[in-house]
Amino acid sequence: MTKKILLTLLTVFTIGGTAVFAAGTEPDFVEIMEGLDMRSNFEDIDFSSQLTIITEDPEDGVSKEVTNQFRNDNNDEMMMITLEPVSQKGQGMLKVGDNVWMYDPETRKFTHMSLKENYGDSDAKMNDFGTSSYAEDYKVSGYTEGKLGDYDVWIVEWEAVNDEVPYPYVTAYIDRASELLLMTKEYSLSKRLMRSSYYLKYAQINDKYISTQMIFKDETMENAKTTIAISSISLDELDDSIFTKSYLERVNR
Amino acid sequence: MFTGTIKLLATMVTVTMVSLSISVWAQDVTTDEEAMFSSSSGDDMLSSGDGGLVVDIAENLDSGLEYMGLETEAVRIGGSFEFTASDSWTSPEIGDDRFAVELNADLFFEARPDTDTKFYGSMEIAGPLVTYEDDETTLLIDESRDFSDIVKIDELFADFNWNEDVFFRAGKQTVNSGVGYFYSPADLLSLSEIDPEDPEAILEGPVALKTSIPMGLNSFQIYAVAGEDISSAAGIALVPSFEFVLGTSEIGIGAYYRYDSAPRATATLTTSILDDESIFAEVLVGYGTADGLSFSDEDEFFAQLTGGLMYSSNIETEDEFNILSYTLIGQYLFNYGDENRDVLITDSGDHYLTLRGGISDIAEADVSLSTTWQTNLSDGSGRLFGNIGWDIIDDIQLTAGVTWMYGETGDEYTPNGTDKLMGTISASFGSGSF
Repeated sequence: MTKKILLTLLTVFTIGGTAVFAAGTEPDFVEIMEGLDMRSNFEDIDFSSQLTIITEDPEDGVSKEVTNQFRNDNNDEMMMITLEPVSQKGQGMLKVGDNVWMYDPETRKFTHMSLKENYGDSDAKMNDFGTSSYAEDYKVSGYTEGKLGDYDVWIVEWEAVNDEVPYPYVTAYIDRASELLLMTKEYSLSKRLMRSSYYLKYAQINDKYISTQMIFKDETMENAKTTIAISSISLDELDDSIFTKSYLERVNR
Repeated sequence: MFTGTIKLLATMVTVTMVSLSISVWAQDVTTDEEAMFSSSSGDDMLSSGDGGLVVDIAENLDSGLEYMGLETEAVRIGGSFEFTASDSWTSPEIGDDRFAVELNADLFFEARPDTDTKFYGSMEIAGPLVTYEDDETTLLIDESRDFSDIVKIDELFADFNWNEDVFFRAGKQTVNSGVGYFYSPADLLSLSEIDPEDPEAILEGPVALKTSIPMGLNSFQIYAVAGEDISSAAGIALVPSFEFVLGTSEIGIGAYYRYDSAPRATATLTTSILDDESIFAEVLVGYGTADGLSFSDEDEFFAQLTGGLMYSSNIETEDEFNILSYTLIGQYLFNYGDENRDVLITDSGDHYLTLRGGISDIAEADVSLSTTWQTNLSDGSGRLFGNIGWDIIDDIQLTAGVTWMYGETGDEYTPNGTDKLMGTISASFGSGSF
């Protein structure tokens, strides 16, 4: 009898172990990262949308910004033009490759910037808008399986392979069913948690996906976060002249 | 044998339990984060649970954003408002003490009747309410002040284009063709110079016709400038320039020509090597005299070279929820040739250096500190000024500053040989833009 129990236990553990082992077959995370990048890239079609950016700051209170975004991913071009607040209407940002320009309508001066800098006063970085390049910028250093709310996720540790990204260490929570990014924890070089990013909703357009509801929480300051909602998504063709410094100057006051 | 099997099973169970514990620990996320991705959160706007993570919108795309920013139905009016009280004094006392209550506003209008045309104007309205200076008090109603003392036109121009290929701006316009922070010899068009105490202030621009031809990220432009002393069409200055992008660097070349002035050529560069810093440089070369006269017996080559670096970063403090932001800026200027430098940035030196350090977000309070040191390396004189600003509440700001000018008799910053200490304290109420 005892022998039977032991055999049963052994069988259960063996089957369980096999199941765990099978479930633990290492996914191809490079392929998954490439998939994340590929699905956010609108390659041969132009993309435009409207962003509503709500920034909550413990010192400065709550501010709202409405911005139009225009993208030509084929040429790695992006233009952002502010509609609200009215006092900043027409101000904008042009990104072409690794070059970013802001234009100050008062001094009439262009400022050449880095992708690592924050967008305006928000907690979003310049490279949070537009296509991602996770496969190019990070390597996988480890992973576990877990659950985030209703979702079964891979919890993947990323390490930057270049210094072009704002955070050298990232813990990424990837939905196993859709292989979409749900959450990232972003760390400094000293492994201090700097920011948490949440990707709550996605819009699907054929084989492309864009996050339409994002929250960026500044972990260095209590109660500081930025919520971004994307609407009015269009794939209509855009004029090349939009992605120029001249256009940025024209739309400004 | 049997005992060994039990030990093996016990070990397996223990290992499994420990593994599960580690796994649970590794998967630990805060309750809020769980709720965000849970259908039971009840907050559809801030969770992905309800309605699913993905919504297919392929059949429901928008027809395109109507607003492209180039045409508006109404004339837009905006501006800024500033109300300040300030007190300044000098030691040793030389009659520079001043108390003033000042009221300033900038107003602008912008009209875009169609996508190809824009009319824009901006003006500054300055009204000192009360000024106590040199033992005399000046009140708001001062009949000696004329219109130009109160209202000043900053910009007034029209934008139009030809086939969206060639773009024009005609009228009085602010132009910022240089890239330097404290010194900008390549800025051939601004009518005023950079004030190191307020290097980001708007510089007055000329009356000019700007013609611009963008070529992707590169662009060619030429300004036809009507100077204040113009008496005939021959007095129009031509200022062409070409800007192009090379990797992550931007390079500009330009020139200045007017028949009775010293011809000048310029080059500018902005780049970044480590991503966190910005490097900028300018060169100006000319032939004649730098005060604008040319073709005289005193003609000679003159040049100005300048280069600088701006670096911004954060320091993590002991309080894990606090970060200190700082900015460091340094710029060097070299003057070569012309001894008559009346129109140049300063008068006499061959070498100048300005360094500035600024700190903000101190202890999460709206307090900022900055210190600037500007020196004429040729004669050793200079000035050091520090500034502290505090946003007491959103609409009340307090600023205090001290400036020390030092040197020997005849030096640039202390021509009479006496060191000077100046202090200013000011409060701003309700300032803002609209």
